[in-house]
Amino acid sequence: MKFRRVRFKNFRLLRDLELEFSTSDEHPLTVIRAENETGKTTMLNALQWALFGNDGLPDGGDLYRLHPIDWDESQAKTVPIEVELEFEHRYEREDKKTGQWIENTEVYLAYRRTTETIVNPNQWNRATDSFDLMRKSDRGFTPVPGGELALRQILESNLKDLFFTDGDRALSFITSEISVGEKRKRVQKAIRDLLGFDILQTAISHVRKAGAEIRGQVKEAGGTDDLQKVAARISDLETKIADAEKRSDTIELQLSQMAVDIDSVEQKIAVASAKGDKEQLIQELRSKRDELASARTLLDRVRRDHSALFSQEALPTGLLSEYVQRAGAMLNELKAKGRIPRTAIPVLQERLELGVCICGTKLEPGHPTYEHIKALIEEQQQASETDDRLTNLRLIANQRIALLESDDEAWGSGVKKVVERRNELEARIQTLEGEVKVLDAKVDELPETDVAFLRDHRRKLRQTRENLIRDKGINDADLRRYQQDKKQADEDWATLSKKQKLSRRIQSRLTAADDMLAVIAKSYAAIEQSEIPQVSDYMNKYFLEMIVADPQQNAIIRKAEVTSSYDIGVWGPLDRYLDPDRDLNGASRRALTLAFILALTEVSGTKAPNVIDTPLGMMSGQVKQSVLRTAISHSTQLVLFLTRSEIRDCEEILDKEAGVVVTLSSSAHYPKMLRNDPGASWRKVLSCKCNHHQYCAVCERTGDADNSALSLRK
Amino acid sequence: MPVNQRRFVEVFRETCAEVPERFPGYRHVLLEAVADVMTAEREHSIRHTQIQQKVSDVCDRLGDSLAADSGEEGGQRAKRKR
Repeated sequence: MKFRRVRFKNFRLLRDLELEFSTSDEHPLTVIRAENETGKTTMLNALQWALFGNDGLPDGGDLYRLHPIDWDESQAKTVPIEVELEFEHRYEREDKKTGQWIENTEVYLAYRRTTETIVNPNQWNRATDSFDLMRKSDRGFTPVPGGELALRQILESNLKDLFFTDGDRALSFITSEISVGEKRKRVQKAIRDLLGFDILQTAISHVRKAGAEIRGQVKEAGGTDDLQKVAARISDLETKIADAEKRSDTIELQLSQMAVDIDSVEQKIAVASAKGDKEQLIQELRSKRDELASARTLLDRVRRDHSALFSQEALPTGLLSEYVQRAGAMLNELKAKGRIPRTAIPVLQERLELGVCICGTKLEPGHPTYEHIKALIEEQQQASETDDRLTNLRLIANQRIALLESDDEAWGSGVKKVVERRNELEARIQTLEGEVKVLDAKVDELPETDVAFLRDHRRKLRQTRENLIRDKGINDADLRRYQQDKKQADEDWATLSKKQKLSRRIQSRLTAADDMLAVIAKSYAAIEQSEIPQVSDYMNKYFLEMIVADPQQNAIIRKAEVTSSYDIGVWGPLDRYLDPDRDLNGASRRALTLAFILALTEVSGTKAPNVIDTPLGMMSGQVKQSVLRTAISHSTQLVLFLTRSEIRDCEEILDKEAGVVVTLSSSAHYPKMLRNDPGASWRKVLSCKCNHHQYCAVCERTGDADNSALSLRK
Repeated sequence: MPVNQRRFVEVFRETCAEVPERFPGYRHVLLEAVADVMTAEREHSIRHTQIQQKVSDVCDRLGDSLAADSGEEGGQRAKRKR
């Protein structure tokens, strides 16, 4: 299918607009240039509505208003809405005589219309839409019977999300916002829809049932009870096999989901553990607090000891030890010189009492010698009080010095020890206080991460996985048994039916049904086995092309793959897995999903337009150019809605590859963004044929005239 | 047509070649019957039809043609065809 032309009438702001598309094989690209709020998404929806009806509108279309928001009710309460899409359909047909495949092209017109009656500004009633499909012939367009159904033969409705998408929506194949199971379902559905697997599978089921029905006719065909029983057994086993296969697939999917869930919980545990296990942290905090409390108690005790030292007798000695030592030395020196203690006074007094000096002179009062000795005694008596004090001091000093030098428990060493202990404890307390503070903060930082809860959750998940593995084992064993039983039943059937000469008609019908079943089932297996790896290979090729990665060189991204379990994965160096949603940047994510869509299109041989809104957002430079080139070279027809910023750096590619470029402008942007008055009474989207090098009276925006890269198109 | 019809036909043809030629031209008739089933399935995927009946009819027709063409009468008919 290729779009040729489209006309919109009153579809939102597409009040009256007609566009042509490029149908050239050499230039399959149509560029619709439009800034934000200029009808890009509206046009995408309108095209989908034309082809798929309300299914093509957001959320089934019930709440999606089709008429222009500023419709003038005074003009009419009922708004006619139309989209007319002309397209060509190329298809291959096998010439049964020659066996050659012949390509045919037919031109059709899809014409959908409805009306909306405005009840109030927020309420409207939409009439059932009507659709006509017309084929072009020499006589013009003639209606095709069963219009909508005929269109579905050309383009099935379940393909709309693949061929009509936007850069964000395409990411749904890899987004981590949905479960792995859901992502797989989407990828699987896209592959199955496009490659026709579902049709093959339902065909298998219907042919199998047809076979069972034929066996059910055994009785009428003259079969004995034994044969009837075998027929019933085969039918029963076929049902059981189908159920078991289905269950096996379901468990397989659940197991894959479980593996991802467990992995996710383990990652959370790892992250939480890197920050600190909350439970362990609380334990550690508790222990540190205990340690701090005991250090504080010890410090109090040491402080008391310290204080007690100041009430001891040894305090002065301790405090004055240096002076005591010096005084002791001086006093001992005085003693050594005989200055203390003085012993002359008692001898002199004795002489005075005897009345005779040691020299024999009589000592009588008034005698000069007597008077001299008396004066000497008085003088010495005055000096002896000092001497006594010094002598006492010397004795005390020596005692203290002895105490200071000999006793380990002496005050000085006691004080030293206490002070050291106190300093040590104070430092320890300071450290502990710091540690408690840090732990407190860490615990506060982890209010939501309950590692214990996560571990418990992991344990439960592992348990569920174990149960699933066990269920799968049982189911697979059942399946094998059913298959063996079925084989045996088939043999029994063959033996019994031969013996009983079952009517040729029934036998032949059964053989025919079995042959058909074998052909379709084997073909399905062959197609499934070969097509998925092909999709994967093409996706890998396109993706690496798009992101300009060379696995032979030093590229971080080495390979992209669709796995047999329908996961889209990316691998880096050393075959390390990269989560597409987590480990790829925005540009690579978009490139990957576009590569997947293009690969599917390629393998399925589908020839339909890829209509993509804002595909190059978040991309720049070489990657943007490569994505564009790859998309163009692998599309039958490519219609891109691009903003000016997306076009930047890609102008040369568009010059070379684009068959048609049109520019859309919104009259609502005048006068702020649009330079010229569009003269429209109502808001609407306008179009012109300007390309990315031009501007005109319709599309000129503020600054265009000053932009040397743009020229005025008259 | 979303499904690669050409690819399907190729694979069906290859797989039919593995089925015994129960009467001359049986594989070709079988291939056509499979194609009929696939067409019916495709139609059914677009709009609801009596698909089981249609598939059963195709199986029966193929079986009847096998009964007719592989029996004595069928053998003579095949000879006449040749």
